Amino acid sequence: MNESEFESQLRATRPAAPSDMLEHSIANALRQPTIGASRELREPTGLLRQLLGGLTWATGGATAAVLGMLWLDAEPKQTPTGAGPSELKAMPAGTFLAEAPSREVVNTSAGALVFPEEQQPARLVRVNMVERRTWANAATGARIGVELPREDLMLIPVSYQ
Amino acid sequence: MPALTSDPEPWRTCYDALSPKLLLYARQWTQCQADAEDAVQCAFVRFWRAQPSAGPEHYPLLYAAVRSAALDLRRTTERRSAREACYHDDETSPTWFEPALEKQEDAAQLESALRKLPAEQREVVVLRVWGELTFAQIAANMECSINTTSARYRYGLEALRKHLQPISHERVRV
Repeated sequence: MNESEFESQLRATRPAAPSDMLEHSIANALRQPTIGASRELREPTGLLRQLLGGLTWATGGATAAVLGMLWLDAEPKQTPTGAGPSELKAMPAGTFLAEAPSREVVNTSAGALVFPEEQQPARLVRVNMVERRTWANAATGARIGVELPREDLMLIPVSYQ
Repeated sequence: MPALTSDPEPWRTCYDALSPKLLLYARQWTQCQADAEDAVQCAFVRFWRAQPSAGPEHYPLLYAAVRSAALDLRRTTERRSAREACYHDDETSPTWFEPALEKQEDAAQLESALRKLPAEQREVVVLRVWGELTFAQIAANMECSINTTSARYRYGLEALRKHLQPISHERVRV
């Protein structure tokens, strides 16, 4: 028995039909214009809300980071990046200089397909990053760093050929 | 949704053609028929609300929607107790395939053999044999390469053949 014969034999066994209730339930649900997740997909505000919903976990970390930066702004007085050597010498010992921030992608994961109205279906891709901001004290060599968790949700269009 | 209420034909045509296949596909992740129907309903409604004028070329997306809905459903802890309650019923009364009178035993054996396959192989076999999707469509659905998909299919078919062979031999001897 070759593969195609075997496939034909398998295909001859038909999948079980759903109950009659399923068709009625779908018909009823499609008649109602506003229910559940489908509504979120149809309305841009709903989709935005859905996208932002995943960011709630990062809100606490981001808030803490912003507060930390405000504190740094208030306590050790910051000077603009790129101060020259003569300016560094003139700075008081407690002065911290901001360094260039960096971002590191720590994880990416593909999520569910979404069907925005009148747009191509797209796949939700979640990108987790860590953003690092550091301040250095030129006089003592001390460094202060803050890590901000960051999560971006992107919609990548998909299509079947 | 004027298009849906005035002309329900497109989704009904799709439903008639695909509902048993989608249901079988949903069974990969659900423990009972009722849960599988919930997943199919959720995916079907979501899909047809978003694309009321979808044609057959869009139907493969329905499998992806069913997969997503079934996985979401499985994760829903609220339904855990209900699932556990109906699990044993399904184990003792196979429901994946149409129990045609003369092939009732075959359907039960096929379901049993499919259950024994690794999940990835079973998913590819179901999508290819009963869903009639291409390897490219299956690969997109499962987010893996076409080579991986076809390899899983080959291994899955081979394993199915092994599981079903002893049964065929016994029947010949009788």
